[in-house]
Amino acid sequence: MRSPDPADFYDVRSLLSDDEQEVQDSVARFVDEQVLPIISDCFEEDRFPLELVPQMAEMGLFGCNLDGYGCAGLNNVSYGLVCQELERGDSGVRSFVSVQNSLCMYPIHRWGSEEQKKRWLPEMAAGRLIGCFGLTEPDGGSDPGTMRTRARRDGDDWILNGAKMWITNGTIADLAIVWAASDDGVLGFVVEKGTPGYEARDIRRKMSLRASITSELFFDDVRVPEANRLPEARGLAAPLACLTQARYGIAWGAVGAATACLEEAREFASARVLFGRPLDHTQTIQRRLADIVRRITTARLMALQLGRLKDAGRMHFAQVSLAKWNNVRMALDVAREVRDILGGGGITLDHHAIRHALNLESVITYEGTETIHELIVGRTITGVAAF
Amino acid sequence: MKILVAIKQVPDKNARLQIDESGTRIVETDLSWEINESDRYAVETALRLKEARGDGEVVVVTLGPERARKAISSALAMGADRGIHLVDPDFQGGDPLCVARALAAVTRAEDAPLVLCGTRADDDGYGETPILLAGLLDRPAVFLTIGVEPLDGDRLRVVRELEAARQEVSEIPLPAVLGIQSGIFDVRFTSLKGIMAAKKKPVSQPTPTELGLSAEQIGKAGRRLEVLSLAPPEKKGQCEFIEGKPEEVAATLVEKLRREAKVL
Ligand SMILES: Cc1cc2nc3c(=O)[nH]c(=O)nc-3n(C[C@H](O)[C@H](O)[C@H](O)COP(=O)(O)OP(=O)(O)OC[C@H]3O[C@@H](n4cnc5c(N)ncnc54)[C@H](O)[C@@H]3O)c2cc1C
Repeated sequence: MRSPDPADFYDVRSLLSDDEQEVQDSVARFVDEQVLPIISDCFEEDRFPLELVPQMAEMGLFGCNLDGYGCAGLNNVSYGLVCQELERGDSGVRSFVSVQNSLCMYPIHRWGSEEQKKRWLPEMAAGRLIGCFGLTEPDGGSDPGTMRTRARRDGDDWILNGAKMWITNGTIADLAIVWAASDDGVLGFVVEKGTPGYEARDIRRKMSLRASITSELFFDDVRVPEANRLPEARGLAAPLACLTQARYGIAWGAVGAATACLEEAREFASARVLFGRPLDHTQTIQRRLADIVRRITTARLMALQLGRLKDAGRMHFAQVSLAKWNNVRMALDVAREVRDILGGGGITLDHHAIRHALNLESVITYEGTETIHELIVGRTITGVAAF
Repeated sequence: MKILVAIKQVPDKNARLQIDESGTRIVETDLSWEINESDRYAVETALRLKEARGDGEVVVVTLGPERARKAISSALAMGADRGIHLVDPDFQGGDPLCVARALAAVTRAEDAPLVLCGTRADDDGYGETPILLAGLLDRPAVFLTIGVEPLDGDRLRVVRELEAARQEVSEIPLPAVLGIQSGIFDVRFTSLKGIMAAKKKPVSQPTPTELGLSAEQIGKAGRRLEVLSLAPPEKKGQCEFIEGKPEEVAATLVEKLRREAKVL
């Protein structure tokens, strides 16, 4: 009997189909060859590696779990594996794909008219159009029901006023999916770059997700044609359904970040000699490594079962909440733990753990904070909303 | 032009190999498998040739058990058009000559003017298949190929790697067999659409009889080379610490690399 692979202790990979393994291998190679060599510098320079976009498009990562319109049409487990491998590289790179896929292409695919789908989806799949998703506002992301951005009907057009905050890809986006309150409830609009009155500005001084762009969006009497409204999207349920898609990918992605940290810790602990023996010959380090492997293994199994439920059309959003909460919490704790195991060197970008730990501070907050996911699960258990 | 690419599925490069009780084979259970590295470059070369000419068909062939089907799928996902899987039990367990005979029969049946193979398999490392195949087909062969360019008419310009980074350029007529060396350019990333498309591409499984081969020419029955034993590499941990100031250490290291290791 061969001894288990520490990074995949229960051989979860053997539960994947050949195609799913092929997807994972291809994205893994992309991350090893194109992301890892540059990502620490990008993080340090506070720069999103825009140069990776054409290659990611060529590989078909954008809209990969959607059908038609130039999309690859993979199953959801494959999409999860894409996220997992990308986030093994960096949460910022995975965030880019999550936003493009789950938050921008998904709503167009699901609620857009045929004409809108033909107009935008193939270009987005090809990476020639980049999207951003504007839901969160300056006063209180956890409670999107209090949305202040307003859409008012004016003849054949709509007039948008308001502001959005913490918007990934904002300043590089060619189109923004913007959610706004109206007399008909929450509606979704595609606001194109260059529309008068629409402006995006980068948020600076971030200590997390530095290899990802985060922006503020401003709407000052922005005139948007009815042709740019997603006709089938009605009410807050629409943006929340987008979040379910993205959160699903994050539940997988977190496993990738944690795995990268584990590998780094193992390598360091076997090479570092202290008190006359390698670090990993001590009980304390072995217990810590064992505990990391335990946590990653359970998260990995959870992500896969969530994916199987999603592919079977049986996934409930509260199950996504549990997995996003569990797996991101796991990854954040693992990254901090590994940062510590690495000693002083662990605070530099010469190692990956600090970058993952800092990134995961965003990941645990965005797409529903940990508390919000606990409360979603709590509501599902008790039937009472306690937000 | 039809290009036939012979690929082999071998254990993952990072796999820890164990030798079985007979002492002549590696234990296959729980191993993960991949396309042999130089064979991947052969597939990439074929795809580039097809793209450069704007027409043609890339057919991949593999001889191996059921699991080797995955190697074909990977090549189809990269962009090959069609697969041939020599999976019949009679094909299995042969020596390089048996494999070459089977590939020669496929080449004739397919009437493929160009056959590409990797230079050598990363597992048993015989490196004989392309040469034996060319011999059986009475075709010119170029081994350790690091560049192929189509010329007018049925000719190719081929660059071969010699010792010490020297190169030999030759022109050969088709039909021909080339052994492709690893690392000659970047192998493309498999696209997710390619993976989906691969599912619909045809893979045939011809039997030895269909290829006009008798059981004694191939597989175990045709084998004339017998492996007596396999041995893991001997562990010879040798580590030398060079002491001194950084400049001195560096100078000594360079000297040793040049004189003793002969790598500089
Ligand atoms: C890097 C980054 C990228 C982002 N990208 C996007 C994007 O592309 N698009 C987008 O729309 N948004 C995006 N966001 C916004 C993100 O989703 C929000 O930050 C998040 O929802 C939290 O909202 P908030 O920051 O306003 O915090 P608040 O909602 O003000 O929460 C503050 C604290 O209160 C807690 N809390 C909230 N409600 C309760 C309660 N009922 N009981 C107890 N505690 C509670 C929260 O858990 C949190 O700890 C991004 C955020 C970041 C950091």
